[in-house]
Amino acid sequence: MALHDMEDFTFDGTKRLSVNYVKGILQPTDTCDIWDKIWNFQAKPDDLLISTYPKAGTTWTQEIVELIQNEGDVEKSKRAPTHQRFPFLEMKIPSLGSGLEQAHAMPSPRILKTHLPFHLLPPSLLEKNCKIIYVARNPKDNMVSYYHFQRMNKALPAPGTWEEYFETFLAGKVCWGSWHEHVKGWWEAKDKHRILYLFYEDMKKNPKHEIQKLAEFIGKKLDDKVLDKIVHYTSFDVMKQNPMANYSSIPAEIMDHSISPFMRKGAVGDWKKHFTVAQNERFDEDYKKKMTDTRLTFHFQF
Amino acid sequence: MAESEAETPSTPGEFESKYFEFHGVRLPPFCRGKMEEIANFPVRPSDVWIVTYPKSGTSLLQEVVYLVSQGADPDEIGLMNIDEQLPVLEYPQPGLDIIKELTSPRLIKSHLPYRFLPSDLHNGDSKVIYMARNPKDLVVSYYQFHRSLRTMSYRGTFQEFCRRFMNDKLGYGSWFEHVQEFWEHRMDSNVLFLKYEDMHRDLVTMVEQLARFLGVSCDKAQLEALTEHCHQLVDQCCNAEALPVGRGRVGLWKDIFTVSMNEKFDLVYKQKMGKCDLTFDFYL
Repeated sequence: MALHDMEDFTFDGTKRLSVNYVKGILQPTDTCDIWDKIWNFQAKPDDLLISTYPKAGTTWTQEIVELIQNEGDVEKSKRAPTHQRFPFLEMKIPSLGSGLEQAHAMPSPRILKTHLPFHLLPPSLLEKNCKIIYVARNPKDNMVSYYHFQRMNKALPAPGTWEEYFETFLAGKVCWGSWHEHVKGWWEAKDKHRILYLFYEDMKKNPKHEIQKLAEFIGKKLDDKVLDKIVHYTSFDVMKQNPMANYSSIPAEIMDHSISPFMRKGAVGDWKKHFTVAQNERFDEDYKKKMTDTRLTFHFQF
Repeated sequence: MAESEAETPSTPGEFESKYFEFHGVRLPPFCRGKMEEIANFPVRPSDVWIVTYPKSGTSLLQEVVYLVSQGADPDEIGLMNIDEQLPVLEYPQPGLDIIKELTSPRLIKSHLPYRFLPSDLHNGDSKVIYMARNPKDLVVSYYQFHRSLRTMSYRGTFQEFCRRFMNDKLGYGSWFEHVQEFWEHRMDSNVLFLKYEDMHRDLVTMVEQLARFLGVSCDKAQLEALTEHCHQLVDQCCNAEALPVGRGRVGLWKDIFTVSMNEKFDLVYKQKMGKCDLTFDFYL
């Protein structure tokens, strides 16, 4: 789709945004068009960045982090929907606006969001020594979640059949690139910068412990009562019903929750109901090759 | 995409109503009122019986058996209607009366469990070849078969069908009991117990076993020619244009079973086959 067409683009429930490559990473075309601005984003020292591969617990972490900062004040988190509270740096979607503009207009301290691989992170965030929280999710559940997300989200390419998407994901030909490269890139960076590297599966298994870890990293001392409150309000069932966190305020032409809800399962091991035995064998073989150069490990089930 | 198990609809009632129970075994409707006559069916010493649970490679086995016993050419088999030559005992066509009158040596097929076969067979009065197939490939094949049959009109999901299989709720009853019952009789002098996977893995040995069992004497050259002919049949079966690609392939189930279904299946398999020393190749 040509640039001038993009300016007039309106979602009608059938059309989807086009995508292109930035430094070898697939992105919505609008993001590609403003890449220089994204790369030159000016961070502030008190910015807090939440980084994830798509569908690895981003919204969940955003909600937890804000509740930690507000010491469990739930009402403050209900002031606006997720996409308005946390500027998504590289996002530029017709009718939803630009993450950069949102960030510029937001008073400090800002909680920012990105899905960018580490090597494409705007350098200012590292230069200003910003605190960064990275959440990684096991690739099998991540793939399933991303597949359903692409089905319902018209701002991303149509995923095709599950069989087709399986191959697309393995090849890393999805927006924000290869899962393997993403998690490894951030893992290698974690000891050189102020990065707290968390795992989705740990957050599911022991949310209180992981929230405590987040609070310490952010620099907040929270008592047990507040921690328990945050655990409750950020549980999957509560967040799924929370209109300020479940993306139900996004127009249906962009996100069609009747195809698949934004908050679908939030479980560990749901991949087993999607992967065939043959796909699982193929995935494991591929995973072994691509993850041979790292000590990073994941839990695929409890 | 592999369907989510939560989305599995219940099986249509019409599908359910097509079966009837006989001594605790679910049988197809055409068996109704026939079971006593089947039990008393007169068997001849020259008969060769091919017994399988449905979708265990019956068609392929019948052609191989025909080839070995008659010394026929595979091209000839392709030209004749082999199903007419090898009737299924319990099917409505051609029917018991006609099968009784067939000239010897008769080749007769059945899917009935061992205990429901003619009692003369239990007494060792004629040769019985039983073939078992690994249950994962079998259930995939059985599902595809049910989907294609207008009479069965099965419209449930594979998950639902597989659950029925694990719960012994399909035509001809429990696969687990079916194979174990025959396995217990594998040492009977009139029984030859074969496995479908061996046809793909070691056809030479299987042809030798069949020739020996059927009393067909042949030298090495004849045996090689027979095996080559049988190889052609196996290849044809797995690559027939009119059929889903690779439908006779061993390990077909891996493309259909989700990991979750496979785990459940393995649990049921272990539970129901626990004390039995019969093993299967699930892939080659």
